[in-house]
Amino acid sequence: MNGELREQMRKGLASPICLTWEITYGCNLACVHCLSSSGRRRPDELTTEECKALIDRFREMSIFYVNIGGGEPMIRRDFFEIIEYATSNRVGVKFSTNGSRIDKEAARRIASMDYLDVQISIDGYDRASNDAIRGDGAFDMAITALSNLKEAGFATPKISVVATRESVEHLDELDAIANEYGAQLRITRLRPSGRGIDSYSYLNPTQSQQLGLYEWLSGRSDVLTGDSFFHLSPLGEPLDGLNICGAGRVVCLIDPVGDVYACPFTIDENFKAGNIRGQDFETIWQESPLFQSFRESEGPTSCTSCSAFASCNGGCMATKYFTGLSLDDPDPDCAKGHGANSVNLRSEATLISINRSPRRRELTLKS
Amino acid sequence: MNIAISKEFSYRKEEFGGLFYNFNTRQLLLAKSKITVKLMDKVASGQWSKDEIVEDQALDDFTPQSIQAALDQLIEKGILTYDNDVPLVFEASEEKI
Repeated sequence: MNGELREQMRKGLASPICLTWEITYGCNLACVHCLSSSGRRRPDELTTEECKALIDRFREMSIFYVNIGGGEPMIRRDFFEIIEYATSNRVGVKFSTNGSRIDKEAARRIASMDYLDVQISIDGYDRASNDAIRGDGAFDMAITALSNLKEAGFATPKISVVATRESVEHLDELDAIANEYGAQLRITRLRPSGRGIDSYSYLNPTQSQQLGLYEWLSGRSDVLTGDSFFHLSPLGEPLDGLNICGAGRVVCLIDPVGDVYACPFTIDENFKAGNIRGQDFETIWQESPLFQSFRESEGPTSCTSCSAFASCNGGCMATKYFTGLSLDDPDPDCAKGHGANSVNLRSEATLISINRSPRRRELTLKS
Repeated sequence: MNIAISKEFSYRKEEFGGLFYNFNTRQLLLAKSKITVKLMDKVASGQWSKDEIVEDQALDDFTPQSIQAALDQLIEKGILTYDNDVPLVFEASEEKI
């Protein structure tokens, strides 16, 4: 990315480039790494009219697109009403789904819309490895959805894969699934938030696997990453993307009850900037002291003297926070190994639990 | 024919210039030149023909030739397009007459 644009983004933009909007905590699955600990719908989730009013605000603020998720967003009865309202107002929509509600009819409806992109979550290259993380039947649901989208002529859906100790060993197989269904692979970093707090220690790729992931991604500009591996950029040529933490600068998250957080990985009171029911969203974005503090930050104090600082800018804030580190510490998975000392000092007891609707499942690893 | 922002692009102004987002390629582009930002502001403000844009007094820092060249470049890049669905302003006037 253009260095000048990056510097402007570091200082924050007048509006987000995009934001993540979780429209429900309700979900028919209970994935072991779910960032929002979703499961049960909350009674005070935004109504259809509140959602539309918020979309009006997105349009007025010229937010380019929203990443709609949850929970499983498609379980809301007004799901299509919401996304059709957004796209008809030229607010682009990408939505993340487990695919369970994409039958043939839904696929045709999706394929007929402009400004719409779909991400189907798959976390394993086969039924056993995927369902160990996402639950029984999840792999077949996702594949059926991809098949329906292909049949309906939807161009290039995304297959969204969280990088885990298991999945990073099968990236080529996952890519082959994407190719089979005319989809594009998108790999994102595992964060220790939500139910991911419990699974992080055994799912997070090892340091050597992260090196392998960087090498694999370096040769694959066709694979999307959501800019989530910038902590690995010091290993060589920076990966595509902004390569800084965009929280409160160019992105944020709105949760199902209208709380505004710094990013999708920081659903925690300490990262809450306001609530759209009590304040105007644009005012929260532009004036919240929390977001302003991020925009004024020059980076973690432990990192600014590092020779690789320009490549990674100190890494992921959420990963530090939920592993009990200070925001001024290096990323726990720092590619230069600077995070290891900090991590060794913390104990499991410092992990912060934020579960709102606990539907924890024990992971059964594939033998 | 009026000039419009292409369907696959979105544009907004920031303090430091203009930002384009391409829905197809998912690319974010920075517009720094003053003429591009002013042109985009003009296009985003309503329906204008090429001649009207070139003659706009708000753009009088620039020569008609440079405005024309910048418009052509934005059209060539696919950011701007001729909006055939929008009736010409003078045609609408003629109908009313």
